[in-house]
Amino acid sequence: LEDVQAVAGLVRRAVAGDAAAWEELVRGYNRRIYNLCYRFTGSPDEAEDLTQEVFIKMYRSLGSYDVERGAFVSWVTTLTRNLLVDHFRKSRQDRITDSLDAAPTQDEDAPTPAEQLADPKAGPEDRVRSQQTQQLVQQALGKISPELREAVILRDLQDMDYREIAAILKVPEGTVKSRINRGRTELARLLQRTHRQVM
Amino acid sequence: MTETGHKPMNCAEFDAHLAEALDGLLSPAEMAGMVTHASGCPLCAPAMALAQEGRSLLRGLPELEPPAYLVQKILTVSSEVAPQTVED
Repeated sequence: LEDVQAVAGLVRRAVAGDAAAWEELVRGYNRRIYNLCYRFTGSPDEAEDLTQEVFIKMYRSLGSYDVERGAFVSWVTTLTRNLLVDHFRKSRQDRITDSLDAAPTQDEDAPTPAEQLADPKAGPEDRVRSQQTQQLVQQALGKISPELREAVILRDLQDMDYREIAAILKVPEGTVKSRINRGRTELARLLQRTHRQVM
Repeated sequence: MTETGHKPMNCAEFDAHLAEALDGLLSPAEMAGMVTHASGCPLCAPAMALAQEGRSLLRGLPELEPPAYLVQKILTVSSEVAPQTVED
């Protein structure tokens, strides 16, 4: 959890031109923003470019952050999400949708994707398999609609609560819960289908 | 979640509270209502299992390390622009 007042102090100093304060903000939030961008786009290059864009936008608009209106992390996440939506709209026409059919093959005794990710005693081969599973999950994430994708990323990967997500997406909490359900379900269904296809 | 007392939960109510159930945000009584409904519903039991699997898959994804040079790149680029004090 972020220290709201400490972060607000950093923001004030950064707005006033304090380079050290700005660097602290960049170091403190770049990982979170990069992960959000990577999980949404599925591309390390796009995630890198978008993270950079988010910080430029953030730097330019730091003065508009109001601590009374919510945590800095929510403000940053909203900014990132809006940029991701813009990026998605711009790139949707030439987006390449990779086929899950091209996924790595698994042998007949292979555990389900969920079992692979959950196994705490994984050996080297299991770890390779687990990496393949992570790729499959990432591919499946890219196949579900952006509305469902952003909801499950914010909840299951960024660990935000329903209220925060509702504020970021500007939809009621009930809609957030419904999107999270549908996102989880669609993702599992896609992965089950892939698992069956390679058996 | 609204307490339904002894009134059996229907599928719409089950669906509305499924995310909270899987996230462990329901009371024991509310959770018991969910389990009771799922045990007798041929639609909601598999729906719950599927959503649970999706949740596990997502939460099994690791947090990624950004490229080591990214912070410096951001600092360099942002040093070329000035922060604005007010923006809508």
